[in-house]
Amino acid sequence: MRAVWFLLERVSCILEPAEREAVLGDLKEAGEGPWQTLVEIVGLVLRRQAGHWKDWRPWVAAFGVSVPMSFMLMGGSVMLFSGFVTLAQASAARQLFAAEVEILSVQTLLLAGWSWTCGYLVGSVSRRTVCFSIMAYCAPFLFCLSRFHSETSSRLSLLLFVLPLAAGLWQGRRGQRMGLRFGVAVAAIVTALAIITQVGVTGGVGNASRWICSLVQTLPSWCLAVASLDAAREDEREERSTFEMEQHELS
Amino acid sequence: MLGEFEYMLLTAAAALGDTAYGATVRQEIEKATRKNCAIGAIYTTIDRLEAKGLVRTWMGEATSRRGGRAKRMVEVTPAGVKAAKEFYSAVMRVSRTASWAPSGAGRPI
Repeated sequence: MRAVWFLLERVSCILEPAEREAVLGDLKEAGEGPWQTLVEIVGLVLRRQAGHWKDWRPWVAAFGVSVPMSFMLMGGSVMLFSGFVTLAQASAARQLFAAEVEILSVQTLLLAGWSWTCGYLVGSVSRRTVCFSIMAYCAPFLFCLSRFHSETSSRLSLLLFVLPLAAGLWQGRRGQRMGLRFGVAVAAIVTALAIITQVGVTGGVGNASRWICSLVQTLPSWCLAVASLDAAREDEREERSTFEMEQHELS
Repeated sequence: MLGEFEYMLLTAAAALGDTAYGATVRQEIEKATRKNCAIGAIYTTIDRLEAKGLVRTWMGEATSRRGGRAKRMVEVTPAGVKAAKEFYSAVMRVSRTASWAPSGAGRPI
């Protein structure tokens, strides 16, 4: 019976605090036993979760962004790791060393920028279904992990993007509003880093697929910039209507 | 147009008046339908009706009978009363010629 109560506590925590309070009170008042209470709470949680999926945003966040971006970020992560390995091996040649450090610094910043913006976008778009989005990130990772064989790289090389991604997810989920200047600045910086990296790595137009892949990974940052622009416009509209109301009251 | 469960919930809440909250609404619906009603169905429907502006909810007082937990009180708004009336009229009209309808059903209300 203790296990049932423990489960009940855990499952009911998924509900909003006010709803949990009211529902548990109702079930207590109706004299339901622990098992029936658990069944009812699980039913409500499932209904709530299913309700979130009626919207398009969780689908886009999980399958439109998380899955493809997980593959791309893992690719970027492996490339960066192999860059570090090459740097360690070529540390004897002074000229090469300086050039490599430069390009690797830019690549590191770029991977962090891609991961953070991607996490922020997913976190802000699917606040209530963020667990599913995280699973959507993990599925390609586990798939690649099981098939990863390299003599020069460790499996950990797949994971370099995880920390900035987690930070972005956390901040996005908290619902922090991104300012217009900050949003545009982040998008511009990420785009500039992507261009610098591609020019540095391919030495110009070079590999088209790499350019496409790079620009696709830059898209979340521009989505955030557009969202911040919308938010700024909404604020402006609200301010204007408040001002008009005040003027109306004064007159 | 309301759904049938939405209509039942509105009617139960209107009948209960000041004592309408999750547990009493559920009890009322179970009494009327003679079937078990999941608490999840009650709460998701209340949310839907509230989003449509047909009911208003707020957290009420806690009682020892409820283990010291607060109630979520429900009140039907004028828009909810209007929607319920429209649903009832439509059901009565469509049932006018049904063999199971009692005589006199379907008269305008």
